[in-house]
Order: sequence, then structure tokens, then C-alpha cells
Amino acid sequence: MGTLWKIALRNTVRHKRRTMITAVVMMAGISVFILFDSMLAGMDRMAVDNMSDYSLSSLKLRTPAYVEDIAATPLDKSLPDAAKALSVLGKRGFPAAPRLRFVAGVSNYKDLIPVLADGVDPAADATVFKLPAAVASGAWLSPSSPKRVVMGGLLAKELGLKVGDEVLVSAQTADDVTNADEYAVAGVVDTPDPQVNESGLYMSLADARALLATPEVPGGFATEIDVALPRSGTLNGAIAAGDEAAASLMAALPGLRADPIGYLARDYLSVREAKTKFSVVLMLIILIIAAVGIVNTILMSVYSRIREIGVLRAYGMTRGEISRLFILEGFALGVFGSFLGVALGALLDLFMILKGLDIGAFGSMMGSLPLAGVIYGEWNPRAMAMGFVFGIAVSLIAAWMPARKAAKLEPTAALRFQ
Amino acid sequence: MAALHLEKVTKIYQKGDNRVRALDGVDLDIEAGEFLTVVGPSGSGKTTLLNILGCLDSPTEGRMIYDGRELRSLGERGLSAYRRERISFVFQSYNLIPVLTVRENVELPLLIERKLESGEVGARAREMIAAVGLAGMEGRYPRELSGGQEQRVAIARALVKRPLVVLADEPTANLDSHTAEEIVELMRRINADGGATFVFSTHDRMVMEHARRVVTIRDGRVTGDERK
Repeated sequence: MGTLWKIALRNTVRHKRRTMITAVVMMAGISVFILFDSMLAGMDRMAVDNMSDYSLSSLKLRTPAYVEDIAATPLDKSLPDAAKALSVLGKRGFPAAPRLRFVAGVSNYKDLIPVLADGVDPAADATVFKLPAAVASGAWLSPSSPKRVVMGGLLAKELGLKVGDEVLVSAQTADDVTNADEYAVAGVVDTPDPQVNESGLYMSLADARALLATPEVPGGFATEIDVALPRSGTLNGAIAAGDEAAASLMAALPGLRADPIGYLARDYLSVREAKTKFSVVLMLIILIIAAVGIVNTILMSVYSRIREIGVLRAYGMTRGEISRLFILEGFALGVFGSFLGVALGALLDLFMILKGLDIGAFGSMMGSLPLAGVIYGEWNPRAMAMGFVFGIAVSLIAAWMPARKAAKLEPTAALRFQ
Repeated sequence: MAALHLEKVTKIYQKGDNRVRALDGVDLDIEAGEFLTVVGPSGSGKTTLLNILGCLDSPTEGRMIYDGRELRSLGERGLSAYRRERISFVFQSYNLIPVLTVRENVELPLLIERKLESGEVGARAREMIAAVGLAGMEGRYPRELSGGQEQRVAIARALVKRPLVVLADEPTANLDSHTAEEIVELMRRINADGGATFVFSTHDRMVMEHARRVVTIRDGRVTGDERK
């Protein structure tokens, strides 16, 4: 085997141009895959972070009945004792804020747009969400200024509203009666989450309770408690930490359901798996192109060494050994190309991690994805290992056909070859 | 019994619709240590005979008994194994492996054979390189050698595993007359010293003159067998 290795490696080095061209194509495929994987992970991270910061939070505490009927945002399935839950969360050091979610109609007295509104505790909410920092004009809600709302920038634009204007908010009360009241626009938010911009409407918990005529319950009426968990280094880490916290909270708060970000953002995360598959397919397409190059390189190697094959066969090498000789050459090419691919991919990845990619210019292409600003890459050794192994596997498969051709050569015909 | 014994060996090639009888009932006995040349015009069957003697090809009919062993029953792998252990070749175009050094080329048959420890392989190769007068050139690559030097390496490669027979197909055809004479002298000396059996095919009169036995072949048949 040592002799086969020696001949295979030296032939790979001897035909530098052929080797380099093939390795460069492999390098392109693997590095694009690593870069793509890093960008997708960065996008996912940013999207999930933005959802946590502006709309979903890291974890929600609700009643199981409320979640089962969530499409109706039922007011009769609210939290039995929000204060108790907040106390448990406070003891664990988790910032938390109660919210009262309801379906509302917001009107400028001419047009009416249905939205999912939130009654919030302005001070506590600011410890969980970044909405106060996203106020583009006006100010965030204040307990001392009742009958105010903060709304998403696109919603305000759609209704032609600005800070200081009056809006009419209508909703079904807890007794299933339609109620409406007037509020002043205190602020307009512009967040990276398009959903907040398009349909976000926030008022104080007290105003929401009054509008909805909610009953008095211990700890105050709320449909959910939003929790901010400590940030994790990676998205997978954040999901795992969320799952762990949810399990622990459910044990501590029987009768409540704790849904972590992995559950809350499940629709987005299911698309993520499809994107990962897409990037693998992209890499495979490029590697298949490289495979054609590898087949060609090994075939050229076979044709230029037919007499050499004859000599080796004459000296007693078996067909299997001849085949292995060329498969080893393919393997050497694969290792070299894959190494270059991983090295370039890691460099590009490093650039993405340190500098990032400003997607401001692609804003209109982001659609409903909660993305804005600079996307930073994520270091993923698994993707690098996958690219490396795929590169070698494709090389071995590509080398197999010409290796078989070499092994089939009759020694007498090979020695006669001119 | 002769070291190599061919009995009514016939080789027929199918070329399109035609059957070409390259060898036609050849009977030949070659004793151990012989220095024999096969002569004849182009297309007479010399190379086919050498291929069959070298177990690179199997006869269509007839028997081959090498060192007391009938080879007809050996399959592809068996013939490979027999070549690996008992037969060596010297080619007209030397056919050294270009990516291997002189020493590595000479070691190659031993490494393919896998019988000796690596230290012994190196020692045996150095010994053979010295025997063909190339001591000090172990680290050179074939591209750095003259034609005569390449053929010396090829001879060292052929002899290093101490084969039953060395088959040489026109070994001097690509060499100038002076170098050709040196090479034939070298082979004769090795033959005399070590007892390896040499079988050549050649058109070269000088080689024929050095041979102790000349087998003439024409139209696939042995038409002459002269011992000197």
C-alpha cells in the first residue's frame, strides 16, 4: 500500500496544472457551501433574535387552554395568577413582563385595520423587549400618561397617522361586547421585525384592561408572561437553553404552559431545515461539476500511464491494486481540494463573523423575514467537516470509473500502447 | 526437467473476422541459467512467445510447465502471482516509473512481492544498483538519466527479486551500438555470476552473437534452434 500511495501522491504533484484546476473547482464548491451555511445560520440567528427582541420573547408562559385556542385569543383563558408566576421568574433572575393580547381594530376614523394588539406593562416590557429602543418618533408608553398607544411604523403610515394624532381602537370585551375608545399616538416604532411594523399596536395594561372590561384576577389580568432568557452563543444553544428553562418552569408552575423560542418560532425554524438542505444540494451540484473534472483528471492520468500500468501488471500487480492506485490518486485529489475548500470557506466564514454582511441594500428582498442591518456568520465546524467528507466522497466515486478502466487493461495491450 | 517447458503451444488471435495464428505448435525447453535469444522477422511471433513465456498471455492450446508446475490451470490472479514471484521483464523503452527514483524503481518488484522486510528491500536494491554500475545515482529520477543508464536501472529492477527468468523484448533497440554492447555485456556477466535465465527477442546481430543459444521463429513456428 505504501508504494501505491507513493506513486499516487507523486503523480498528483507531478501533474500540477491538472491537479490545481480540479482542486480549485472543488474548493469553490466546498467554500461556497461553508459560506452559505454560515450566512444562513447568521440569518437564522438574527431572525430568531429579532423575533425574541420585538415580538415573541425567549419564552412565553400561558395556560394550556389559551394555547389550544390561540387563534381566537380567548380572554376567558387568561393566566390565573400572573403575580405568582412573575415572582417565580424574578427569583430565577429572568426578566419577565405580563401582556394582554387581543384582536383589535385600529382606525383613523376613515379606514380600519385589524391588528393583534398588546396591553403591556411599559417598564417591565422594556426589560424583555427592545421596543422602547426602536421608537422612531415620539416616545414609548409611560404609566403616567394613560390613553396612549405606540404603533408599528408601516401601520401608522398605512393609516396616515403620526405622533400626537388620535386613533380609535375597538375590540370585543371579556363579555363579548364590542367596545371602542380613543387614544393618542405616543410613538411609532421601526423594528427589524416586519410583523411589528405592519401590525404592532401597544397600549398600557391598564388601558387594555379597561377597553376589554376584563375581570379582576389575582396578580392582574394578563394572557401571557413574556420572559427574556440569557443570550446563548449559537442559535442551537439558544434553542436548547429555552427548552431546558421551559421544562424547569413548567415543573415550578403547575397548570401553566411554558413555550420556548424553539416552539414559538417553529414555522420559521422549519424553513431553516429546508434552507440547510438547499445549501447541501448547492454544494453537491458544484461538487458534481468538480467530479466531472476529477473523472477527466484521473482518465488523463490513466491514458498517460498506460505503459506504466502494463509494467506494474507485468511485475505482478493485480487488477485490484491497479484500481486502488488510481482511487488513491482520486483520494489525494479529494483531500487536497477539500482542504483548500475548507480553508477558503473558513476564511470567508471568519470575514462574515468579524465584518458581517450589510443587508440594508437587499431590504426589499427580505420580504416578511425579520431581518435588517448586518448579518454576521456563525462558526459551524460540522458544516466544515461535512464539506470535507463530501469532497472526498465525491472524489472517490469520481475516481472509481477510470480506476476500473485502468484495472481492466490487459498487460500485453498496455505494454504495446504507443 | 527444463526450467521452462512449452509443449505444442498455439496462440490464436481473433482480429475482426480473421483468426491470426501467432504461435503454431511451439515446443521449447529452456534450462535454468540459459542466455537465449529469439530471432525472426517482424510479425513472426517473437513478442507473442515472450508474452506467453512471461505469463502475460495464455496459450490457446498447448501446455506450459514452469519449474515443474503446469501453468495452464492458473487463472488471472494465479498468473499475476506467478509473475510477481518468478518472472522479470526488461523492455525496449525501459518503462521506468517516472515519479520514482532509481532506488525506488529497483525496489518496486520487491515491494509488489511483499516478501522482504523494508531494510532488506533497501539493501538488495542498493546491491543491484551497484551491480549495474549506478552506485551513487540512487536518488535520481529517470528523466535525469541517459538511455543506457535507464536500461541499466531496468536490468537492476528485473534482477532484484532473483527471478526464475528475465524476459527482454528488444532491450537494445533504443540504444546506440556502444551502449547496447555494454548492456548486453552487463546481462551476460550477471547471467554468468548469478545464474538467472535470460530470454531476449532481438533483431540486433551483436546481441545474437553474444547469445549462447539462438531460437529462430518464423510464422509462429520454431524453425531453428542453434546452441553455441
